[in-house]
Amino acid sequence: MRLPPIIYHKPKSLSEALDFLAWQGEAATVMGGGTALINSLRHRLVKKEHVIALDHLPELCSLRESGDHLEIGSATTLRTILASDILRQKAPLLLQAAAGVASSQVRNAATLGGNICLDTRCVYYNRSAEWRTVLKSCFKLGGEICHAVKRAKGCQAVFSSDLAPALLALDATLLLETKEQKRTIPLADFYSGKGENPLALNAGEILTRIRVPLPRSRSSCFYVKLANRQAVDFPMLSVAVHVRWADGGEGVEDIRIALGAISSLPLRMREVENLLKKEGLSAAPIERAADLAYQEAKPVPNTVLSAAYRKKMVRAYTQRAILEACRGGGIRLI
Amino acid sequence: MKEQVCLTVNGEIYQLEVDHRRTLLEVLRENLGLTGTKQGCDTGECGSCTVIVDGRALLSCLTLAVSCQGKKITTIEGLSRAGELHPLQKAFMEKGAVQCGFCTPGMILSLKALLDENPRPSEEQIKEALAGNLCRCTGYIKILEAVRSTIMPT
Repeated sequence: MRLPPIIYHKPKSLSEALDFLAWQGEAATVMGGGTALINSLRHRLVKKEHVIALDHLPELCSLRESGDHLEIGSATTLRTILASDILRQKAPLLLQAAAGVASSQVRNAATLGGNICLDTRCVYYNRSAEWRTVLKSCFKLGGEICHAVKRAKGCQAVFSSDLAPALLALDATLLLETKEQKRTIPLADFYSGKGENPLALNAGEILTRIRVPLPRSRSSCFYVKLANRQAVDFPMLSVAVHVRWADGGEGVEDIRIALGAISSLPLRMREVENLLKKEGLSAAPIERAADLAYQEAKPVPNTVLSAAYRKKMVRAYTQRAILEACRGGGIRLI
Repeated sequence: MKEQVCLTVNGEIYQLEVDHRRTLLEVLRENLGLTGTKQGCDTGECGSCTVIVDGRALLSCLTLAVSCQGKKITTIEGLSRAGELHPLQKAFMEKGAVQCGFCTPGMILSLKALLDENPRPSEEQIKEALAGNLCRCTGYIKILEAVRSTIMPT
């Protein structure tokens, strides 16, 4: 299907991009690899006249150690992330999450920033304009109904980024810039929890850098995603686990568990983490932790797999992810 | 908005007026008559629109034509040289890896991009490279046999 009329801009610098975005306001959107945006435009889910490309700007493609953290430019492609020796050594959880995204063709173009800023999804929303004419406009389209959950008072669309739960488990922060100012926020604060409008992005703001703290001691991790196929599909549940082991090999210093595609934002499972920090990482506490995750998860029927099945899988996948992280879970690229 | 652009496709330079809203897939097929690249799902999920841009396999249905100025584009038409088929194309024919043929250009280009970068990929790496190319006819077995037959043993 044809795209709507757009004007493509290729700014010569980040500064020029910010200026243009400030000037055009609501009429403009930025674009990374375009792998999400082009479809949204095609299906008339996004209505923007001006498209500002960012993927060619060297300022947004850095990938380096800087002091006590790793700094990754928001226009870094997932391909670059998968090929990065620094990230393989210091943040392998990102590679595990990136490896399962879409397909190699998509990963060649898709950017880290674009994945973090992915819109929420729903089987009733992510359809062509023609398909959607048979239903009333839902909350996410500006209407007053949710087709997935009839009594819902707001949009229940599901958070679908693979990289964000991994970044959440890694305690990442984001650098957001406008023409006038910059701000740094924890990744968790970037998500509103609202299906309609999932990003807490201010007007004129561009996500420019992602910062991941360098591991301070031995750590291990595991990322797993639930989908019908091993490629192409968005996650319908994902679990990211990051464990920091105490020096001297005596127990766990810290454990972070983030769930994706189970809610309208990525969820830190703090209660589950606390249970494990208190009781240790042996079989029985891990099973109780998985049960707790199951109780806390509240998926809704807006994906291809049923909510009931996904809820059951929260227990299974949380248990598996923790166990694999305990086994020293390294890179498991397909 | 329309713009005069210069696209380099299969080594040839094309000067044409392109509306910004047109995808690379549309321009290749409709403006340049290079219909080897196929429009399958038009949403980036089937891989039949795969082309190679600056050495990387990309989905042309998710790429704006205007963004490809200054880049080197290769389509399936660019694989044969002076009437001689590329080894991948020959292997696909010899091994029976082509049934309806619709997925074939995308498959071959994904494989070419892989082999250009990694001449001796493992079985896993081949499958990873092809995970985004769907085939409804063959069951993939012959496709894998075809690419394996082109990989020189160490």
